Amino acid sequence: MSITDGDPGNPPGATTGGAGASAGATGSEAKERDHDLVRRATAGEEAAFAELVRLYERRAWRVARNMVPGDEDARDLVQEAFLRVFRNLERFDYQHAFSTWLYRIVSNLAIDHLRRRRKTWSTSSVDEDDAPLEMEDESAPAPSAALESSETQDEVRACLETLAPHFQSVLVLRELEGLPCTEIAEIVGATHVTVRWRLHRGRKLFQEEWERRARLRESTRGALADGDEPKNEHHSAPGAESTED
Amino acid sequence: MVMEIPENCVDVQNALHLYVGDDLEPEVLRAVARHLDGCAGCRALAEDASAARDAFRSLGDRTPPAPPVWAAVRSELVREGLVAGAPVARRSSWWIVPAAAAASVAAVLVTLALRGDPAVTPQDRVQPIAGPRPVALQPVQPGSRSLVEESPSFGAPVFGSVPDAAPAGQRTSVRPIPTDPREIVR
Repeated sequence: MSITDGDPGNPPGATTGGAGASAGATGSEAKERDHDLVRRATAGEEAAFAELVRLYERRAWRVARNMVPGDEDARDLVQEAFLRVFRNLERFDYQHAFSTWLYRIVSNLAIDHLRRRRKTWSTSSVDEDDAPLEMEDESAPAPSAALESSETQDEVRACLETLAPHFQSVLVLRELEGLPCTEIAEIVGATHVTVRWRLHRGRKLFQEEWERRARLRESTRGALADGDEPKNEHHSAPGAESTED
Repeated sequence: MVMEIPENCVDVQNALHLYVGDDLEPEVLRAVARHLDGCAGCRALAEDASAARDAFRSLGDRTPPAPPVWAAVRSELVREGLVAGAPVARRSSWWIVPAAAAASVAAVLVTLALRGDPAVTPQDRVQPIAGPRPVALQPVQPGSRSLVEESPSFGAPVFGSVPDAAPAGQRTSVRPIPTDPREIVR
């Protein structure tokens, strides 16, 4: 489908980095507004599609960026998500919210990206849920207080990356986007029970990895302080039990 | 995963990771809370699970700001022929326009400076090279003398050697080839 030429820039009234997508709009109001924009975009109104992009680019970015490491990959992923939305506007199911549809596209793209990355990492294991090798920098100085927050973020991301992609998507959608399990079930194409199981399992695996790394850090710091060799904990691949139920 | 009302520590510990996120049914949630009130061991495990969850949620506080994507999306749609119109110029290199403007201004200033620069002598300036004056063509009458002799405007050639074509005894108007470009005059 083609769209008549409109304002090549941002639509009138659009502001970059503006307020959240549903500022001032309730759930049902936002849903109706989005459906109206989808209809208009399907009919060929470029400004309507540009408005949808403006309303949801931040949400799409948050999901993509928290699942996919790297700003550039995340940005490419978000752009691809909106391109797919445009190409499939005529197939949009008005029984669902536009946000649900967009989240599904973004999370699926992110999962595909993560699975491709894991395949390039894996050298001998067929199981793509295996965690990558972890190398601790023993010569790194103790972090200052200013760096601890950043390092904590890095540790959290590192722990998240050890989880299977289907756990990551549920955790990001629930914990960072605040979506209810019922909506997450629509997004990931699973039952409510499956989503809760993944949530339970994902949190548990994340906690195990988080505490393991904390113990390793303490062990390393203690060993450096004493001048001894740090202890190496044997780590079994997380998500080894992450088979689909 | 516990769906029923937990009755012991094992049941409660299996429910903790949903409890810390309020992802249990209300009655199950209340049952777990009652158990935790009376069980220090399970309460400590719940605190650990909650701390890990808080650490995970802190990711949301540090997510980098979203880059605008509309221009790139639209450009791609135009490229694919799905949207009509000229692609939106990507302003990824913000410095190009001011740099070009600054370069233009600098070029104008340099030009002005060279024109008024006293260090530049007239002799150093390149003189425009004039070609031969236009020749008024006259029809050749039989028996008339050559145009070379008649036309006073036929000047000497500026470049190149000229064979000595003048008749003997006649003063030639051919000048020697100048070696110094500054001697090239009309």
